[in-house]
Amino acid sequence: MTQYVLRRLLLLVPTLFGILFVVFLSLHLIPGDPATALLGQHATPESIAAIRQRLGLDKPLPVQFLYYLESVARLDLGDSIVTRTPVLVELGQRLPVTITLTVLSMIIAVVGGMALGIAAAVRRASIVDYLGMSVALLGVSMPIFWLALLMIYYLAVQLHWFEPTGIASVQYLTAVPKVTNFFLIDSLLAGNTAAFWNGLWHMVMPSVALATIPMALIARITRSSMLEVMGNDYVRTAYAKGLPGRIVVWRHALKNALLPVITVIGLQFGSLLSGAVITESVFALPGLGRYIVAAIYNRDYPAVQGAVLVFAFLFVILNLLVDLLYTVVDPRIRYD
Amino acid sequence: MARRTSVWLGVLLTAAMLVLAACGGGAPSSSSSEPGSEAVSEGGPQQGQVTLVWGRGGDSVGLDPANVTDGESLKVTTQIFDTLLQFQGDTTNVGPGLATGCEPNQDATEWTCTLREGVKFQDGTPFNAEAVKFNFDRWMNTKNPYRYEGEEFGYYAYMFGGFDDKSVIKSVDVIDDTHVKFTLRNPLAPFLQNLAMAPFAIASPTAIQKWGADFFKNPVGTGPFKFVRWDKDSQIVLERNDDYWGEPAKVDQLVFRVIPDNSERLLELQSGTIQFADGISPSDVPTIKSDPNLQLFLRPANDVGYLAFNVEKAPFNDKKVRQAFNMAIDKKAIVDAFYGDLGEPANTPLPPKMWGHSNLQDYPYDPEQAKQLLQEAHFDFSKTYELWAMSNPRPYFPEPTKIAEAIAQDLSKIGVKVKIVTYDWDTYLAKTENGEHALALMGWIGDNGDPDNFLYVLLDKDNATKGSAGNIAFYRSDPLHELLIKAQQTPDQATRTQLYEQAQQIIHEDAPWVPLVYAEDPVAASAKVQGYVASPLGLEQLNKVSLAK
Repeated sequence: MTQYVLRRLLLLVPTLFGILFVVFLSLHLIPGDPATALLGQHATPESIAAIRQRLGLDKPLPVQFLYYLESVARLDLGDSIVTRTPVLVELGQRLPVTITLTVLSMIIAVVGGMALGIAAAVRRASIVDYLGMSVALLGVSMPIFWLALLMIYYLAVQLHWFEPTGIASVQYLTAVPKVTNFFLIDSLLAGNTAAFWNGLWHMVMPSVALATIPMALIARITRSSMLEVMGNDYVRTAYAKGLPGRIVVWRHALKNALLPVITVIGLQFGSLLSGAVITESVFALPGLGRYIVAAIYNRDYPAVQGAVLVFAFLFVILNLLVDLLYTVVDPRIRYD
Repeated sequence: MARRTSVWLGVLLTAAMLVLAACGGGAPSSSSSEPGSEAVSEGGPQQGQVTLVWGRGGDSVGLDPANVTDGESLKVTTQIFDTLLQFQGDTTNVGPGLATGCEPNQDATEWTCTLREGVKFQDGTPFNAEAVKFNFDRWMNTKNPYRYEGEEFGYYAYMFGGFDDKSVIKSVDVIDDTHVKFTLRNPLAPFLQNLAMAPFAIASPTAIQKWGADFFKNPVGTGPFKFVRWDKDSQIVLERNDDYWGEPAKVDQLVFRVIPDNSERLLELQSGTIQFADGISPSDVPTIKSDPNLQLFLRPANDVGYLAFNVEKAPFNDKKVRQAFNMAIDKKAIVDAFYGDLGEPANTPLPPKMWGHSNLQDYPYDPEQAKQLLQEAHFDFSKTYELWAMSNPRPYFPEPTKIAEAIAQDLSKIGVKVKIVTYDWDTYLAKTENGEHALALMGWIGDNGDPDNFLYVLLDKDNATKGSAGNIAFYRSDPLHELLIKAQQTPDQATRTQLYEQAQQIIHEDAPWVPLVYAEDPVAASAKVQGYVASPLGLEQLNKVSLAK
């Protein structure tokens, strides 16, 4: 097992190298460069040349790539071209927002999705089933930004239950000193419970918006997987023994039905990360997704490369975790 | 078992969080290089404090005005810093700022500015002639010790011709505490207009020395608001500068919030969490106008959108063809369709609110006469001509490709076949500056409120060099060149106005462009906002703005 984990971790290196290579190449292939993005339409050719020279953009591509690899090997992701701040520092400020958002969304998606799926499977072909699956279908087909707009319009502007966007109200955001960059944790550290609840309340709409698609998928998979298991002999036996339905469902059926669900959850983490890009833009959350979009727009090479690297790293680690979780749920799976 | 399952899920999520946190953990969570970390940030607005929130689409790049070129940065620095001279209200006229006035010598190669007395920077450093010299020396000389790695001062190079020997400003000398003398290598008529530009605001020398390359995250000026903190991509918080030399701000705090999505920004405004929103889509204007809780301000146009002919390429080297196109395009219909109340048809390259703008009679919309002119010019109707348009919206062209389609339709009415070609903005700029187009949509946003910044930059033969052309019509007119150079060397505005009037007549006659539109920039605000005056330059100091209860 340990060997397997080590092997997977070692595989990280070529994977990340490949990703770096592709990102580097595609970035340099889009027209435009940081110098023009920095100086705008009114730049003099001399100042553009000066910037290119300072950033080493006048060197041949392979040389630039090697330079970059060398600094990554030193765990230095370079400085952002636009803000002249180390990319690592910037990612450290942005990641907490994205993590908070994706984790909250995942909780909503897993709890909601499994509850829906189990209910639909247990009461098959009942009104609960049809209703649940219709909701799931709606959830899958509703674009995030559209749902977000509807939520903001009705819940925030019309009903005033929420503030439309942002990670907290301006006064709380200003009041909490940054320690971990997780606003929810920082507000607790500062002993400011009002700020904590305000921050959590602000995350409700974005996490629900981001959770709809994975929630719907989890619900459908849970339902079909449960139905399959519920048709098995051992479940019939359990019922025949006179066990109450609750025990049969929760103790016997669910554990065996979980495997495909876990797979979907693992895969959904990836789509959550990409969905976060849209959600962060719509809800004006200063997270990693928005950071990447702005960086691409500004041709901020080190920032894009650094952020993609971190994204990829997360993705790979999460996949590994999912694979390891299989062995816990199903002892028959072993990685020796 | 059920409990076990949820426990495992919990473990999974916790593990995921830990891993994620570890990834972000490479960063120091609070280092002194972080913006605002030194600033006081205990407590937000106290009870009874008034906070004004401005919502915008993007974050600032940096807060050292001299080293940025984007509006989102200058919007904020304008609140923290003052310039020597200031643009007045809703015009591009220049009036007193940190300097009460500047006087030229006989041939306008020396300007002596008288500075306001008793002004202090927000860090207590006294503002004086030394401070002015310190700032200009830092921008002018590439060898200056306070010019740090990565500081380009792009706007300085652009407005003053370059650095070191290329800089129009040869030297800045301290006469006494309240008098500073600028010596120029040659006269520069827009000199005073340039001094009023947001990038040339005066920063505290003490702060520049103290912060070094991190000054852009810790700005200190003499303006009506002091910098408090900057949460990247989220908000920039400023507070009132109680020692301001001018009219102190009427609100306690000014916050610039980043809300990328246009519709969300408007929704925030409607829900009352912000008091200003810029970057409004033209399609949202009717909504704002009909909402009693909102008001709409229009910044007078400081731009022009136009169709440029490449006059080096046949058939557009023929003046008759260019005049015919001017008559064939229905500008008014285009403005009505794409701009609503936010634009007006253009008759010259100069925006209407700028001094020097000529009211000359535009070409009429007359397809019949256009057709006749083309026949006289033996125009080849069998060919298809390429019309270029940028793919992404610009302030002067909210929907460039659709506007190109409308133009193509107008041209098809007189039998001219057009194919629309688009490129992304960076590529587009490079290709048009290189003269690869025959017909191209282009636009310009003014920098300093001076006609020279439009006519000389966009239409003089000096700027028709392939590869870096501002004049993408590649139109080279000697009579025009003479007028523009003469106007550059005349400090007297009345004389310059006459010269520019003649210049616009020549341009109109030669028709290197079809001037299409002057676009106005809408700003939406809460109905409670009072005292805001929209400026054509788009950068208003907000010290006069108050909020009704």
